[in-house]
This record gives sequence, structure tokens and C-alpha cells, in this order.
Amino acid sequence: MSDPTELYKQAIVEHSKHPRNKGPLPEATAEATTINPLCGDKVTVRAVVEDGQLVTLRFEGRGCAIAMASASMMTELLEGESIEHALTSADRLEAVVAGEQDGPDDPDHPIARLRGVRAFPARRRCATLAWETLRQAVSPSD
Amino acid sequence: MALDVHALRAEFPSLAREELAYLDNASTTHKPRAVLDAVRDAYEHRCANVHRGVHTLSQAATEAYEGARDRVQRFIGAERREEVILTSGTTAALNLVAQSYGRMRLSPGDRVLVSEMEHHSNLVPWQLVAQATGARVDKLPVTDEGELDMDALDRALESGPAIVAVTHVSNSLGTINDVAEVARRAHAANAVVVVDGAQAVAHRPVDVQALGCDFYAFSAHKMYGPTGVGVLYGRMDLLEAMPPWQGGGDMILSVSFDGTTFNALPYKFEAGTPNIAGVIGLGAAVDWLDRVGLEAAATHEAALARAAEEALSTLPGLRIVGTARDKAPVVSFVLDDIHPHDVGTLLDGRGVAVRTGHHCTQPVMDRFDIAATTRVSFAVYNTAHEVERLVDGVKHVQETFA
Ligand SMILES: Cc1ncc(COP(=O)(O)O)c(C=O)c1O
Repeated sequence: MSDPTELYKQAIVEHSKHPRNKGPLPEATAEATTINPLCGDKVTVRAVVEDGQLVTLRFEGRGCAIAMASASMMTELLEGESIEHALTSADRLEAVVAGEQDGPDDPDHPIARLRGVRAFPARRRCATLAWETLRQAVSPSD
Repeated sequence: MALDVHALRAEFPSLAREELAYLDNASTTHKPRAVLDAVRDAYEHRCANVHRGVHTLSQAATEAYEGARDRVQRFIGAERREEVILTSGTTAALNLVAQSYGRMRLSPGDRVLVSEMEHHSNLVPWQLVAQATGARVDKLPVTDEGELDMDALDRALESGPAIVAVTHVSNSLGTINDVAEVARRAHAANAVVVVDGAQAVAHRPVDVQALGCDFYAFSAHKMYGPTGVGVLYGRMDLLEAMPPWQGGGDMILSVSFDGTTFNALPYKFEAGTPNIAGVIGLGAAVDWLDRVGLEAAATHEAALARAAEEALSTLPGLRIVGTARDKAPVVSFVLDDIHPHDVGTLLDGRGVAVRTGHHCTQPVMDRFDIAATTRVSFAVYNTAHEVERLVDGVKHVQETFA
């Protein structure tokens, strides 16, 4: 079994203890909530979208450190970016966590920092939860 | 007589990996060689269907299969072997009671009283049958210590529930319920008592007649036996009155398009080819537990659980959930600001296997206003050294988050 301690120390603990962009967003124009049925973890992602840009991005929720840290890193990475870029990033994060691609070379890039979760299959969904939720929030509904 | 844990442990091939401290026994236990051998022997030397063949091999399979039923009958103190229905597990056994007895007994407006600490498998089947019959499911509350609220039981019994469903031992809190007393009071109010024994049978001698319950369900895999096998004990008169649940082979006497006559007990409730090798493995597990001795096992496990509770309680920010007076070797806890799943992953990194989550008992998690716990559960082969590794591991988790 691989030791998750390094993953926690390098990526997870700091963001989970000091989450960025966590809180309500009453003026949100896009919003979604996802529950991980395995553990009941819950993440809500809200955004103010203007001209296809995520002008403001916030999250709220309760859950494990991996889910909360991933949400925090996601909002930090994607606030101010285009929806198109956000959707590409979500795909990329999911592929990296699934072990299908290696992702960014820059070790400080959030997606690279979450790469280590792939060693813990039972926890992969925790890392992808916020990104899935963002995708739902900004995808055009039918 | 004290147990020789190291000798016992050597009987478990899957525990040979020294680095693994397996403390998730309430989910499923490891299997001793005697059980593995019995399952293998069933396929190697008695591979035939049961109750169907005149040939020698089928006779041998049938004898072994029915021999396991006799062992189970004795193991739980059932009066008759016909009262022992072999199922695929606790879940199937409880669904059988709900779908057969429940549908027969319940009418619109009737009540089923279900404790707040039930595993989802002793709650959801009642919700399903309530939906189908127009009955309603009432909650029997749990106290702050994680015990059944016996005053609330008396009050609830005044409204005359038809069925009372309680667990013998809570899988998430460890509470051992006084089911004999529950049964006494429930019977005085003419309710039928369904007991989930999944977490009890590996840890204490169970005598269904002394408990006085009407139904008792458990799984082989939580008592050192194979997965996919379980038992429903039911009182003879109730089982006789009940309609079959599933139809198929073995459960019939004769079939025609004009109608079908059902087989006698216990076969009426055993449709289809059963898990023959698994049932034989269950018989071997009963023999193995007899040899180890449940009293000695309980003493050993209680000492480990006490040591774990004492050491864990001294850690800052740690709270034990479930502080009943009478507990099985289950210790559930929460840590301030650290989610159980993170505890579980970090402990796993150090070779300590625990269960984290709601343990299929969401109502009792809500009762304690938590989403999840970290649960440590002991079996007869666990050691004091493993308790130390657990406690060191939890300290390591706290340091990682410091
Ligand atoms: C108290 C309790 N009831 C029922 C069950 C369900 O048992 P099984 O999954 O073997 O049917 C379990 C185990 O998960 C349990 O702990």
C-alpha cells in the first residue's frame, strides 16, 4: 500500500484547513450541488457568469479533506477563466485522477498536486466531486 | 481458559501478512483454514445439487448441507431444525420476513416500530412493505449513550405496533440491546419481534428461545464463515402461517398450471439451488467457533476494545460515539476537524484497516448529528499490538493535520 501522508501534507491539509473561495454567493447566476452517495459528502458550486467567463466562483459543502481541498484549489484555478477552459480543466483533472494521463508538468499546478489521489481508488471520487459539480453548474441545461 | 491468539491467528491464511492490522471485522471477518477447507472439500468431493439426486454424490452433498443446518440449530438454540431457513445473508433474511410475514400481517394504518440504530437492511425492507400495505414505520429512539430508549418503547407499544424490529448489536455504536426485555414487553403488547443478529453471533452465545424473539437473522461472513450465506430463524407457528416469498425449485411439492402445493418447512422458503458450499462452510464456522469458545473469544475481544477505548479517549479532540454500558467489541469515534475518510486513508497507509462512513446506519448518524465515524471492530484473532498500531496511527493522523 502506498503511504498517503505525503499527498496530504503537500496538497490536501493546507487547503482543507484554509479553504479559498468558500462561502455563499447570493448573486450567483449558475449553481449545482452534488452528493457523493458513498459517503454523503456534499459540494455546492456557485458562479457569476458573464460573457462566458466565470467572473466569481465559490463553493460550499461538507466532506473529507480531499473533497474540500480539491474544491478550494479548483476555485482558485478557475475563477476568472472561461467556461470552455473550466470544462477542459475538469476533464483533465478527472483523467489525471483516473490515471489516464499525467497532466501538468508544473508540480504546483492544482491538477498536478491532486495527481497522487490516483493511488487511492476509493478516494478518487472525493477529488473529482467539485469539478463534476462545476461542470453541472455551467453546462447548458436542456 | 485464556486464548492462544497467536496459535489461532496462524489458522488464518489471509492474516499471514504481518503488516496488516485488520480492524474491520464488523464488515466481515477473515476465514480460518477449517472453513476454507470445508468449502473446497464441498466442491472437490461433494459437487452435486442437494435434495435432487438419487445418486451418491447428491446424497453426500445433501447430508453435508443438512448437517450444517443442524449445527446452526444447535448454535442458536432453536427448538427445531425446520425453524432454520438458509438464505444468502442477513439482508435476504430480513427481506424474507418483511415480504412474507409483513405483507401477510400488515394492513393500512398498522405500525412497524423500528429502532433508530438499525442497519439499513432492517429499516428499508420495512419501508418497502409499509409502502405496499399502507402501514407506517415508527422510530424507536436511541439515547445519548446509544442505547434503546426503553421508556419510549413502552410509550410506542401503547399504540399497538404489529412488528418491532431491533438489532441485537449495533454495527455502528457497538451497543448490545437487551432484546429479551424488548421481546418481553413487545409480546405483552402482542407485537412480533424481529431481531437482526448480524453483529451478535460471532461475539456472544445466542439462544433464540431464551431471547424470546420471533425472528432472528444473521450472516455467515461476519462469524468466520463464507460470504453469500445467512440464516433466518423463525418461530415454527409463524413460519407455517407465512406464504412463500420466492417461488422456484425445492420450495414446491407439486406443480401444475392449475396450481402448486408448497413444500414443508424449511424448504418452503428455500427456492432454487442454494449456496451449497457456502452453507457447508457456515457449518464449519460453527464448529470452529465451538472449538474456540465464544465466552473466551468475548473476553479477549472485550479486553482489546477496552484498551482501544481507553487509549483513544486520551487523544485531544477525539470523541467516542456510542457509550452504552453493554457493548460489543466495536469502537466508533470522531475527531475534531478531521473527516473519517481521511482517517481511514491515512491509517490504511500504515497497514491499519478500519471502516469509515455511515456504516449503512444513516438515521443513527443523524441522531448524533454526524455524517460518519471511524469504526474499529475486533475479532478473536486481533492482538494488543494491533491496538497500539491503531492508536499510533490515529496520533499520526492528528500530526498530519496539525
Ligand atoms: C447490524 C447489521 N445488519 C445487517 C447487515 C447486513 O448483512 P449482510 O450484508 O451480510 O446481508 C450488517 C452488515 O453489514 C449489519 O452489521
